[in-house]
Amino acid sequence: MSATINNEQPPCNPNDDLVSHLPAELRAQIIAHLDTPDLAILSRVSKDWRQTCIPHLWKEIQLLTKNQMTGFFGKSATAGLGCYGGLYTRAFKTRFPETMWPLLDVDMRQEKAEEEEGMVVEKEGNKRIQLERFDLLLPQESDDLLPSDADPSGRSIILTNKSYYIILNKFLQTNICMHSLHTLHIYRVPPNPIRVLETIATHLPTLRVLHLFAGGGVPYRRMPCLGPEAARKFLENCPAGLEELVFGVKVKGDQPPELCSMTLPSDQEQGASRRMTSKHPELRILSLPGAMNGYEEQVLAAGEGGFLQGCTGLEVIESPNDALLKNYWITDNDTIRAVLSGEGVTGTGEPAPLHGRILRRFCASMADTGLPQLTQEQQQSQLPLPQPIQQTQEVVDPSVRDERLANSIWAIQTTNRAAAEHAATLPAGPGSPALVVRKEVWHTIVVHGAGPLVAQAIVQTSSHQDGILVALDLIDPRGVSSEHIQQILVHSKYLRCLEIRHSDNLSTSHGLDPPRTRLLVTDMLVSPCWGCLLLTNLHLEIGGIPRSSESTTAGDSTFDQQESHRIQRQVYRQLSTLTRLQELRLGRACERQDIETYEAHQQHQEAQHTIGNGSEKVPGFQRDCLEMTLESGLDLLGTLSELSVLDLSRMDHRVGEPELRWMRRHWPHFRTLRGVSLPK
Amino acid sequence: MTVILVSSDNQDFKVDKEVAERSILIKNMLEDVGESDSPIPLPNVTSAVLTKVIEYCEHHRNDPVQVPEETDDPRKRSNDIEEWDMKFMQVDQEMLFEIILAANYLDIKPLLDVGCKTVANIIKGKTPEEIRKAFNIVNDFTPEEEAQIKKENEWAEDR
Repeated sequence: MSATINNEQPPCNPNDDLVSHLPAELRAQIIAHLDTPDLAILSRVSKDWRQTCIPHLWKEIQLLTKNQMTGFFGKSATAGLGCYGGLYTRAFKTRFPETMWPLLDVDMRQEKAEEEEGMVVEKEGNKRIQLERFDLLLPQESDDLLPSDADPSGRSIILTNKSYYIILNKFLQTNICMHSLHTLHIYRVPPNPIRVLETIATHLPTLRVLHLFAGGGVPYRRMPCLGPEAARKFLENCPAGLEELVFGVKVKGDQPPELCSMTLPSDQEQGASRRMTSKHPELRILSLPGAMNGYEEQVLAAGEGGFLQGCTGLEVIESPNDALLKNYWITDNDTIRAVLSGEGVTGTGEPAPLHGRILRRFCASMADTGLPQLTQEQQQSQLPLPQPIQQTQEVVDPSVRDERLANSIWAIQTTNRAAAEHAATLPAGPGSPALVVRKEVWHTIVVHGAGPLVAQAIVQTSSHQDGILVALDLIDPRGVSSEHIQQILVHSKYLRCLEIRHSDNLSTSHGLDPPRTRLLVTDMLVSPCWGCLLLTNLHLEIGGIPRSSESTTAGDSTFDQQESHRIQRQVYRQLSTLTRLQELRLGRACERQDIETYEAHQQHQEAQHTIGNGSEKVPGFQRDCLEMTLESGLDLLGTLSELSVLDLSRMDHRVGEPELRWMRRHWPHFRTLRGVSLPK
Repeated sequence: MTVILVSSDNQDFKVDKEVAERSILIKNMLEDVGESDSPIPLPNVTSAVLTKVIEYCEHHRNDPVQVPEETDDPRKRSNDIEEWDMKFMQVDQEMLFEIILAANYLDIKPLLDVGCKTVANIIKGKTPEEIRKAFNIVNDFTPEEEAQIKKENEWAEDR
């Protein structure tokens, strides 16, 4: 190291290979900022760099494009896998089931070698692959987003259904997965999932996070059907250490026999003694996005040793699709509720502890007539409400209505809390009232026309320590401020779905700005970071972002583009913390229905065009929004690896081909993009 | 309150305590020593580099203390660099690496991060030959070896 006193022009020896002389730990820090393709290139630079790169390069194998797949089948790649896989590979993410073969081959060869050598010699390059995480993704469909010449071979090979699940099954049963796997996501649905479910139940004891056939862009219609008995057996026998389970199946009674029965080796040995023990004490989040079709008791709470009875640590139970369809909610079932609150246990033995939280929906809607009409759904609480709300047809002043709604949210929250506090003071024991008190908290709140008081009540209830708010849907809010929204995002740590939208459509809002409920960037950036890290659906207008205008209005009004990008970066940075996002709708808040119609008429392409030319302002479009360009910092959203739907249809965004490519590369589940007209 | 830092070439730098404490090394030293005016020797940092480092700490003196949020996958960390930092890092390579070494020694995590990101950004999107050129790295592979590694990595190179 040269001591340079004169800092004007430090001597620079052109022959010095400075970067290679950095200590190894600093080089590792540098390459931590590189993604896999760059690592692969860098490892070809020199022997030294190759050594530095290899552990990082092989840590997570991700095969999303056909080129990656074919490359992985090559001889050299297989050799590399045999050499480094056992040492470094911990995660395997693939869109192509057939890429499990090379791993199986390597495993088999190693097994053979071990047998021949007798004792396992733990020498370098002779370790077995032990995966901690395995993701089987859906085949690519987002290729449609790109012009056809971009990647003509991007489509996946369609395997015969038969071979697909045989490989998967075999794969899960090998040493590659059996002793180490803690995260398993399977999005590609086998035609008959029974064999795979059997394997998961019996061969993967170390599993902690399991997502089956839901999320990752799996549509409801593709979720597999299953007989109720098979579903029950799987749940009761799934790995004991599970902390999070997402299980997307449709339970139906009239299934063919091969979908109804499941054989597990533990069937015989399962004696009566094991029945009452808690089998899944670690399970915190249970999500059943499919449908139970009336079999929920049979599947979830069958008898004393039922699945739910064993989930003593449950914090959230939900059936999100039911919530979306607004027809049924799993916790509406009385037996399920009884089990969750611990009162369902009868007969001999120790009383089950009070566990689980029952989650409740609160829904207040207005009739289509435009008259404020109040209905409350699922008012099943046996706890008396201090101020019961009456169903009314009369016209109610919005502010009065707002107060009433806020009061009822408050009332339920207060009653629940009081009951829980009261229960805590009572002596525990058989027959104690402590066992029958329901610990109810919010799950879903849907309010049409929410005013500031309702917003305040929601903020309070979601920031309370018992406040579990999972889904919030505000339709046509009036007077819900940007600060309210920010508060909700900061405090609701269980929030999974947030929608704030207006039912106005473009035709009615023509010429005048509709009332806008949105999050302003000024509120977003001053307060602490968002706490809603579980969020999967976000539909929110984020506004107030200064944008440099393309129209050449000189003077003070022209905005510094760098400043605009700086602010946008901060917004992206905040969004990038929501790593579980699956659906992101930004821009002018509007009804989902509206977007679809709008899209169907292809008007947005013209509108987009108009805006692109910077001429007349088109009503209904948000202008002070994120640009969604890489230049403005879109690449910060590379953390949103679960994202499958992005809706920009009401935004003056500037997404171009580089952005489309980037999205495809960084979001493996990405399937739907709305509001972008493709270059012809 | 100010502290005096002494570079390896014996130059004194008088800086605000708040600025100097951006360096965790110095912060811990000051805490151990307690109230004292004695200068702090930094034998691993030249005055040229220390000037730069102090410039950085001055600019970031009011930044909130970074919460160490180590994601389990460091590769998911983004590579964006703030405007000012980007300009600050527009130095020749020798200085760049000296800053990285100094930031590591002085334990200034944000500066180290910016430095590493800057180097990573130089590497990004280049071919192996371009990277060698950028850093004067000697290719010590035989053509056969290189072809072999290219094949081995083919699955990883596709974007």
